[in-house]
Formats: sequence, C-alpha cells, structure tokens
Amino acid sequence: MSRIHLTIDGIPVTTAENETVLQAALSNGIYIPHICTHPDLPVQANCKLCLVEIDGMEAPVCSCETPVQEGMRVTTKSSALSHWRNLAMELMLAGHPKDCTGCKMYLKCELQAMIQYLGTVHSRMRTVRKETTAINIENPLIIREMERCIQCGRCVRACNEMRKVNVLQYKKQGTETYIGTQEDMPLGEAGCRFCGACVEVCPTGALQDVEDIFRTDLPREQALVPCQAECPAHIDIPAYIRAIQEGDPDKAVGIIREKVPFPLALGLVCNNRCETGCKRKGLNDPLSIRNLKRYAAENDQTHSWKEAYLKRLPDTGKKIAVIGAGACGLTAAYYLNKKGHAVTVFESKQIPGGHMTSGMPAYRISTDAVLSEIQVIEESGVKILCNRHVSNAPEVKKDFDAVLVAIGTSIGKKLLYLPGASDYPQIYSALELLQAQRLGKDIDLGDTVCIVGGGNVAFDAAGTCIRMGKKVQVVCLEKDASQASIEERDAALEEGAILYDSHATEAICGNEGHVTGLKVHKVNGFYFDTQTHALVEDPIPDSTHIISCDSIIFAAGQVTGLTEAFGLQINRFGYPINPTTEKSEFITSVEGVFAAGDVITGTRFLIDAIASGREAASLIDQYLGGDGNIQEVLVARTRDPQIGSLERFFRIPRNELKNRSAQERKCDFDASSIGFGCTEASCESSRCLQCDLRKDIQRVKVWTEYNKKQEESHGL
Amino acid sequence: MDCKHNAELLPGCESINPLPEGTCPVDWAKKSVDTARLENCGKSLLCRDGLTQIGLIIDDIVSGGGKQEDLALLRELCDYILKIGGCGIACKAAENVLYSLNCYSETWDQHCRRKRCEALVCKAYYHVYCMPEKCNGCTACIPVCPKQAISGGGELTCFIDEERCSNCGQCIGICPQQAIGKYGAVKPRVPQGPVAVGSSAQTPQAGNRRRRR
Repeated sequence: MSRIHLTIDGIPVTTAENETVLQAALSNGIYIPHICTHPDLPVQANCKLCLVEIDGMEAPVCSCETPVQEGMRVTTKSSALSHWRNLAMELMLAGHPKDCTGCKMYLKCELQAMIQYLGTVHSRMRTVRKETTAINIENPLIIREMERCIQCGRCVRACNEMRKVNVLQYKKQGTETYIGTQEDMPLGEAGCRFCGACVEVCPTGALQDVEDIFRTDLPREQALVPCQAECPAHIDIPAYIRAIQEGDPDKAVGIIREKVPFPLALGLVCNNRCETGCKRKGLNDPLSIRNLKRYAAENDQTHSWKEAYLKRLPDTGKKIAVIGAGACGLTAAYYLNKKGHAVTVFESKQIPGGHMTSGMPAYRISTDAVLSEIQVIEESGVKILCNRHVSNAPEVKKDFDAVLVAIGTSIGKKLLYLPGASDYPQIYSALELLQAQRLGKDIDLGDTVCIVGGGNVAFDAAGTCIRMGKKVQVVCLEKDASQASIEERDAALEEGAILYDSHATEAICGNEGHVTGLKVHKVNGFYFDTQTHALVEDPIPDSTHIISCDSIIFAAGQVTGLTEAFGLQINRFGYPINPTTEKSEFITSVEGVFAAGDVITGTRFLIDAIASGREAASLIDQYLGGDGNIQEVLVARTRDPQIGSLERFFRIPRNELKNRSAQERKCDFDASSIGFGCTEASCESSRCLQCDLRKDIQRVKVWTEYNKKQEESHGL
Repeated sequence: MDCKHNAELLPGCESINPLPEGTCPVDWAKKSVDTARLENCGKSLLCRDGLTQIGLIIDDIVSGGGKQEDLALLRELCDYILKIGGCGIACKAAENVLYSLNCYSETWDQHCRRKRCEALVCKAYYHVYCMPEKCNGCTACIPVCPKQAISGGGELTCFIDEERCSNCGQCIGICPQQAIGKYGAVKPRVPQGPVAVGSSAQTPQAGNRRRRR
C-alpha cells in the first residue's frame, strides 16, 4: 500500500492512503478536537468540532470524513476554526446541564475535557429544555440520564453497526430529537442484549452502568467482566460460555484448562462465586455458570486441547516435592512440571485427589471423575506416589530443590469439651465418616446418627449416612441451618434427614461403652463475644431433652493437624507461619519449603485451593530461577462483536440442574444430579451478556494524552 | 428520515421575493425555521441544535423577549449552518432567515426594540377588538372564543376582554359583519364594555390616538 504525504500545521506527516485527515493527525500526535468520532465506530461527522482548513478549499471541512490526499496542506488551528468550534460547543452545551460536579462521570467525561480544551463558557445561547428526557428511563443495568445527552450518536452507531442489535435510534418528538427505541419501548422489550457498548462509547454521563455491578477495587479491564473477576482462578468464563454456545465443549474445556486442571471437579462441586458477580443478575438470574462448566467437561469428546496442554518446557534439572495430592498440590505440580521441573507428589492415602476423592460424598463428585483429571496431570509428567506419608518436611527438602506443603486440613474437629465426647468409640468427625465411606473402611454408626453442625459438611455427612441406610438427625445452632447452602440443606432434608435447628448441645449420653443419645436444649439465638470470641447462647428454659442415637458425627470444621514434629514453625492453631520479612503467604520457616492451599488458609473451597496452587507454583518457579509465568493460551479466541438482537433476550429464564428424585438417589452413591443436556446448555449459554466484548472497545484518548508540543501550540 | 428530500417542504426566498403584502418577515422566517426543525433528521449538530437555537431566538423576538444583539447571533448561526454545510432543509431555512434579516432589517429591528409588528401577525404585538359601529350583536363570535373573552349580544354589541383574549383570531374569521379587527401600536377608541347596538357613530379610526407603552 502506498503512503500519502501531507502537512498538518506545517508538520510533514506520512500516512496510509485510506485514512482520514483526523486519523492521520491523531496517529501523528496532532490533536484535533472531536467528540462524535470513535475509533471503533463508522464516521458520522455530526459534532462539527473536528473542522480543519485545507489549502484550496473555501470552507472548513470535517477532518473525520475527509480522506487524505497527496500533498494536502491542512491547518488545524486558526482563529476562524476556533470560532466555529466554540460555536459548536455552545450549541451542544445549550441543552446540557450546567453543573458538572453532580454528574457521576465528573472528571471522566469527554465533553468536560472538551470544554476545558476549547475554553468554552455557556453564555450566548438560549437554554434548551428537552421534553423527551423522561422517556424510557426505567431500565435494568443501564441508567439513562438523557438530559446529559448531546446526541453525538455514538450509542446509536455502537448498537446498530458495531453490535447489529438495532435497538437504539434517532427519534423525533415534534421539533425535538432524542435517542430512543422503537415505539419508546423499554430497552429489554426492544430486544436489547445489555452488552453495554452504548454505555462504553458514551462521551458524557447520559448513559451509565448501574452502580455496584463492576468492582471498583480492580483495574477496569478486569472489573468489566465480573464473573471472571470474582473467580479466584480468573477463568475466562465468557469465552468458554461462547464456545459452548458455538456447540464446541472441547474448546470450552481448553479455555477452562488454561487456568485450572480440574474442569469436571469444579463443574460438580465449585461454590460458583462467579455467579454472584454475573451481570445478568440485574436482569433476572445469573447464568448457571458451574453447570455449563460441568456440561463442557462431561461432553468433551476429542480433548482437542490436550496436545497444547501437555507441552512442557525443557528440563531445568530442578527437583520439586509436593506433599499432598489434593487439588492445590496437584495444580501446583502440573504447572511446575510444565515449567520444566521434575515434580514428585507424595500422598499419604491410597488414592490421590485429597478432599475430592475422600472428603466429599461420592454422589456429588465421583472418584472416576477426579481420577480421570488426575490422569492428565500424570500424563504431563508429574509423578504421584501414594501411601507415602511424610512426617517431616525439611527431611524431604534434603533430596529436592524445593518442597511444597499442600496437605490441606485433613483432621476433622470434635467438640471434646462436651461431657462424654471422649468416652465412647462411636463419636466421629464428618471427615472420618466421609473418608471411611469413600475409601471403603468400616465405621460403626449403629442405626441412628446425630450430626452436630450446620454447615455444608454436616449435610454432606447427612446424605452419606442416609445412603448408608441410617436414620439421620442434624443438630445445629443456626436457625434453618443458615450456614449451609440452601441447595445442599434441602437435598438432605428431602432425603429424610431430620433437622434440629436452634439447638445447642449439652452432653453426649451413653451406656456401657455405647452412645445412646445427645442431650440438647433449644435457643432463641446466639452470638460470639467480640472480646473473647466465646459462644454466648440465649437458651429457652426447660427445653432440655435427649435425642436418642447410636453414634455422633461432628461437622465442626477441620484443622491441619500439624505439629512441631513436621519441622516447620507453626502457630497455635497448627498453621505454618512465615517468620521471614518477605511478604508472601506461601513462604515457611524453612528455606525452599513452601506451603499453599487449605494448610495456610484454613478450609476453603476447591477453587481457592486451585488458585492457591497456581500462585504457589509461580512463586516456586521464580525461586528456582524461572520467570514464574504460568499463563497459557490453549485455544485461540474469536469474539464476534456483532451479536445481533435476540427476541425477549432479557426474559430467558435460568436453567437449573435436575436432581434425581429423593427416593431414588438416597439408595445409592451415584451422582444425585443430572448434568445439562445439549438443549439446556445451548439455552443457558445464550443468556450470557458477553461482558468481555466491551473490553475490545477502544478508549478514546483525550487531548491531554497527545504530545506535549501540541499542547503548547494550543495556547496560541 | 432524510433531510435532503425534506428541503422541498420550504419555500425558497428567491421564489417569493418580495414577500407578499400582509406577511410579517419575522413570522415568515419563523415558519421556515419551525418547519425545518420539525422535518430535519436531527443527526447533525447544525440542523438539530443550530436550528433549535435559531428557532428559540426568533420565538423570543416575536414574543417580546428579543434583544438587539440577538440579530447578530442569528446571522452568525445562519452563516454557520450555510458555511459548514447543514443538510438541505437546514440550509434553506438559514437562507430564508438571512434573506429576511437582510431585506427587512427595519422590521426585525421594530420587533426587537419597539416590540411592534406592523403587519399585525405576531401575536404578542397586536390586540383583537370589536368595532361597535359595525357589530350587530349577532353573537356568532361568542361560542368560538376558546377563552370566553367575548361578552355582549342581543341588544348589545360584542366586547372582547383583552385580559382574557389570547389573540387566536378565530372570532375575526367568523364575524359576518367583519366587525372584529386587530390593532397594534395605536389603540382605537372603543367603549370599555358592550354598548347598545347602533349607538356608536361611524367614527373614523383616526380619533384620539394614544400610544401604547
């Protein structure tokens, strides 16, 4: 392509032949004021600010619609031009509120920047009062303060040309022009996809996002995609939902695997914090993101991501030991292996997987599902040694360059202060129960079980006992067991668990070495003392009674079980501490020994363990001389910005998972829920607002961002 | 909407040069601008906000709020539309305003400074009255008045209460006797209320003239 030579304000400029004068000037650092022009939108030439004089032309022209020509001589600054531009601004401001400070876009407004640049004051024009500003102001997600609108038409072009949604249009009511929809319908009814492109391109405060949908504590680029921002591992959620929409679950899995090695496990048991961020909750309900992930993982046929996934950097000659083959340890192992280190994972149990294979009920996450994902990690080169208990970390360090302690919280707490809690063998922690069930060990529960605790683990234990044919009673302090997810609580209650909520435990009763019951009383409420953190109850008088049972299961949290014998400095709760001055949670008291996951954070969720494993891997790679970069792209992305309109898009209801009937599912340990089929997945993925498309819209640079020389000459 | 086709909706100034008798050049310019404001597509600043300002300024001029400096601002805005290139209908409206400003500058000046419309077209600058010497008390005018400003009838002539009258002029057209007319700067001598039909002599209008304001 040939290059065009022209001069702008006497400065020789070279540019491509299909550019406009405005583009040529801006790309050469010469600022010409403009407001209706946006780099991603077709030119409309309506604001008349970008006027320039061109030698040989009688009248000034809009530089945004004037193509460059060889030898063209352009003047961007003259008293006549400045007069016309100020007149244009005066006209624009005649209908615009005078007080900028009350606007949410204050100091972020392109119009305000333009006023500063041109030094315009509203004075000579009649104030224009618009009648149409009250039209169509009740919308979800998008605030329309149309008295601020200068009708530059960027939103109309974004909606029509960039997105092909065709909802926004120029409208007239009498002599007044306004930006509206067909028949002044609310945005949703008119077919809006709520992609936010109009808001993104609006140069004023006329179109704004509803407050609180984007986090303000993150860089804008991240905050714009709330699901991804909320995910601890920052999985590219809109991208994999798009892949599912395209009918390509393999591609979706590839995208998920860029951040986490356990797509299926997460699809089954993740606590879906992404959904709390989902912008769609402002329309009806958030996307069923976890279930879409499960659909992708369950329908991934060709593993097209695998070749790229198993690629490994050349051997570094460094050896790393990972203690604990749970989600955190295995995630770290995968990434460290990928960076070229030789990784060995030590697991004390007979199978790897940590809580995934021994701490959660099988009907929620099957051993086969987890092992199939661990197999991929082994294929990538990680060595996993089971039945290898490590009792001292520094000892292991002698044979390795680095050690990662990722043993999680594997000891269930029992409320030993309760009278009788140490007296009978039929008293277990929930973790002991779950492990026994999953690893096929005997456990003496009798016929009736009392579970003490009101969190998710209590209901995991309840579901497990029910499937073992026991009669189950759950005793907890909280009204309605409010600590647990409603889903899990209700599932267990449907299966026949009996809930004693607002009950406090007094003692465990027993006879001849057997538990016979749990002594409880009812409470009106309770709280934790702010000073001592001790539990303070408000008991109901004379409510003490005994719930008869043959065994007790405590679901009262888990601890690391670490002692000084492990060779690391620990605090009084058994968590390794970082005594060094380096600010990293992963560093321990022994050089080269790191810790990550639940063992440093306390029991959290699967996704937290994976995110922690990723961060630790990056840190250890740096410790061993690598760059610490574990970002990878397994699947090329394509984003079509032209999403088009979709009738009644805003009303499409959320698809929920179907559960097998309580009668059926309580008889076996098979999966209790049935994943999405193709139809549900396609429907659910079509609900996505595709927030990530907005990241592709360029930000308009304001005049202060152009080079210094121009700024000075502006003063002339 | 496409402004280019709409340009035909406006009369060009060349085609009606000079303006017909009884036309107020200010009102004629206002009508051009009002039509252009209604019919332009609204996409360009020039047509949308430019014409709106011109319209608002002329509205002020015809309703008593015009200032001398408004005329210069009007010229500036019209020049702007023509020079920078508004759409067809905006340019035509701007041309008409400029034509009117140039050829009838005295009339514009009167509107702004002396608050007068000699053609008795601009509502703010005239009053409607009933000539008692012509009125036969037929009361045809009374029901058409939207403001109930007319009293009289039967044995009495009609009388228009200026305080209530909105200058709509509907009564003027309906009166079979052509007894209702307008006056501008000079108030004719008429009774302060209904009088007996036939009691008023055929006095010429040139009586005791009194300047208003």
